[in-house]
Amino acid sequence: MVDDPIAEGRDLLVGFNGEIALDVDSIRLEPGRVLTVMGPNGSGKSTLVQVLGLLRTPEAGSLRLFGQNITRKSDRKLLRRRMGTVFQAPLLLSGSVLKNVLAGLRIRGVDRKEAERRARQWMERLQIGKLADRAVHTLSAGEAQRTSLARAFVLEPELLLLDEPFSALDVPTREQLLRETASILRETAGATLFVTHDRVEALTISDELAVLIDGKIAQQGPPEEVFGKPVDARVAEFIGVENVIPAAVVSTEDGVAHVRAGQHEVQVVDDTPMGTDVHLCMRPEDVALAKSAETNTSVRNAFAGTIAAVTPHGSQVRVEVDCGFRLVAYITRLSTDELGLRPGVEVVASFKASAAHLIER
Amino acid sequence: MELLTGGLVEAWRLLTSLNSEVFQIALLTIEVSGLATLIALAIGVPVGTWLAFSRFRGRRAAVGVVNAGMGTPPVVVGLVVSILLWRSGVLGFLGLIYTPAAIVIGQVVIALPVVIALSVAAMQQIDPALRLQISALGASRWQSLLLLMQEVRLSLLAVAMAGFGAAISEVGASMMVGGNIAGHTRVLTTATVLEVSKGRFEVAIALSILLVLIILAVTMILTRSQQRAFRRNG
Repeated sequence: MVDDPIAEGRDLLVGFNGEIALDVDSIRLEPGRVLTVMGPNGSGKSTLVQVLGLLRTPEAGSLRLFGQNITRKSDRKLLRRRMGTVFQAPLLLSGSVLKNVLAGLRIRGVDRKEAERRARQWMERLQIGKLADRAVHTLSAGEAQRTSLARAFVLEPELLLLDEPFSALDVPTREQLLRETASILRETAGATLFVTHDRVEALTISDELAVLIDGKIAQQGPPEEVFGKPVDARVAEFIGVENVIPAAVVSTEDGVAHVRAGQHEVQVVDDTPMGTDVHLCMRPEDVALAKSAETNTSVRNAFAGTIAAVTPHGSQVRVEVDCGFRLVAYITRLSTDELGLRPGVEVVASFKASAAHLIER
Repeated sequence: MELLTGGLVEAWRLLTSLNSEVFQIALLTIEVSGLATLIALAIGVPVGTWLAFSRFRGRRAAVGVVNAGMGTPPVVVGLVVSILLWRSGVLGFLGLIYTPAAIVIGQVVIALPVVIALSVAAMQQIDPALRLQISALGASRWQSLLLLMQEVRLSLLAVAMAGFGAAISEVGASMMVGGNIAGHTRVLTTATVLEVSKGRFEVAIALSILLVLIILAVTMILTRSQQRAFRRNG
C-alpha cells in the first residue's frame, strides 16, 4: 500500500521576469522517502523548494501539504512549522550556536527547558555539542552548516527541504556531513526533498531522483535507472554522460542494435527498432584507451582516432579523441603517463556494447 | 571671554550646589525626551521594518517623505501640534496643551521620521535570504520583527541615540506646546532660551552644560551596550 503523500504538487507554474522558472506537472513526496532533485544552475530547483516550503506562491497549479489543499486562506505560518528547511548558506541568526538550534523550537512555543534538552541532543549528534555557547561568526563553514542542519533536524519535521546544503563546503567536510545526513535521513519518518547538483550526493542519499531542466522534470525514477538510462540528451549530458553522439539504428540482432555513428558502426545492447534516429550515449569512465586494438579483445567497439585534447579532471585526466565522432574518456593519471597521451597521438578508443545505451531522438 | 568664564563659574556653582530648580528641570527633560524616544521607537521601528520589506505602489515616495521628514523644523511641528491641541482644536478636548504630555507628543513627531528612516536603512542591510530562513522557521510577523530587530540591534541602538538626540535638543515645539511654565513644562532647552532672553548668560551656560552632559551620558550608556554586543556577537 502506498502511503498518503506529505506533499503533492500538480501543474505548478512559476514565472520570473516573463520567463518560466518552474513548470512541474507532478511532484509527490512520501513519508520516510528522499526525493532528490538535480538540475543545472537556473533550472528551478530553489524555486521548487520555495514553492513546497510555502515561501513562494505559484502562479498556477495545486499544492497539497499534510493532507490539506493549500489555498489563499491557508495559514502558511502553521504549515511551515511542520517543516524544516536548510539552504545552501547556513543563514544563522547572530548569537550563539545554541540560540540558533533553539530558534525553531522557541518559535513553535516549546518550553525553554524541553527545547534545550532536544537542542543539545541534536547538537551532540551533529558533533557541535561543545560549540553550544560559541558565537556563530567564529564558526568554520562546516560547523555553521552543522548548526543549520541541527536547527532543522531538531524540529523533527514532517517535511524536510534541503536546498544544496553541502555545496559550499570543502570536499572532506562535505563527504562526512553527507554520510551523517544520509544516516539521519534513513531513520526519518518524514518526507525529504533534497536538492543537489552533485551526482555522488544524489546516489548516496536518494530513494528517487528527478532531473529538473528548464523548470520541468525531464526524468524521474530510481537513481540507478536515471543514471543508467537517461531519457534524453539534456539529461544525459547533465548527469555526466559526456558522450552523446547522433546516430541511427541500421539493424538489430539478438538484442544487439547496430548503430551508424559517423563512418562507424557501433554495437549496443539495446532493443531500439531499426531505422530509429537515436543518440548514442556512454559515460567517459566506460571508454578505454590503448595504443593498439590488440589489447581490447573482449570489447565489440574499438575505433582508431587521434587525441584532440588532454585536460586534468580531478584525480583523473579527461581525454578527447576524434575518431570520426568525438569520444571523451576519463583516464587515470598513471595510465596517461604510461601511454604518453597528449594531443596528436594516435590511440584506439573502445567500449563494451553493454556500456552504451540509446536514446530516441 | 569674561562672559564665558563667568558663565562657567556660575554653572559650576549651580551644579555643585544641587540647585533644586535646575535639577527639577533636568529631571523633567530626561523624563519627557526619554518617553518621547521610547514611543518613537515603538512606532518607528515596526513602521520602518514594514516600509523596508513591503511592496506597494508609492513605497519609494513614502520612504522619500520619511527621509524629508527628518528635516522638518521643530517650530513647524510645534505649530501644527499646538493647533491640534489648542482648546478649540481637533484634540482640544484632551486638555493637553501646556502640559508635559504635549511636549512628549511634539518630540515624538520630531523623532519619528528619524527613527523610521534609519530603521528602514538598518533593516534593508539584512540578507534577504536570512528573512526567507526566518519565515521558513515558521515565525509569525511579530516573531520575525523581533528576530530581525535582534539582527540589527547595533544599528537600532544608533537609531535610539539619534532619536533621543532629535527629541532632547529641539526647542521650538517644546516652547510652543509646553508654554515653558516654571515647575510644570520648563525643560532645559526652553529654560536656556528664557535665560538668554533675560540676559542671564551664566545660568544659560549652566543649563546648556547640563543638557550636553545628559546627552553625553545617555549616548555613552547606549554606545557601551552597543560595543559590548558587537564584541560578543560580531
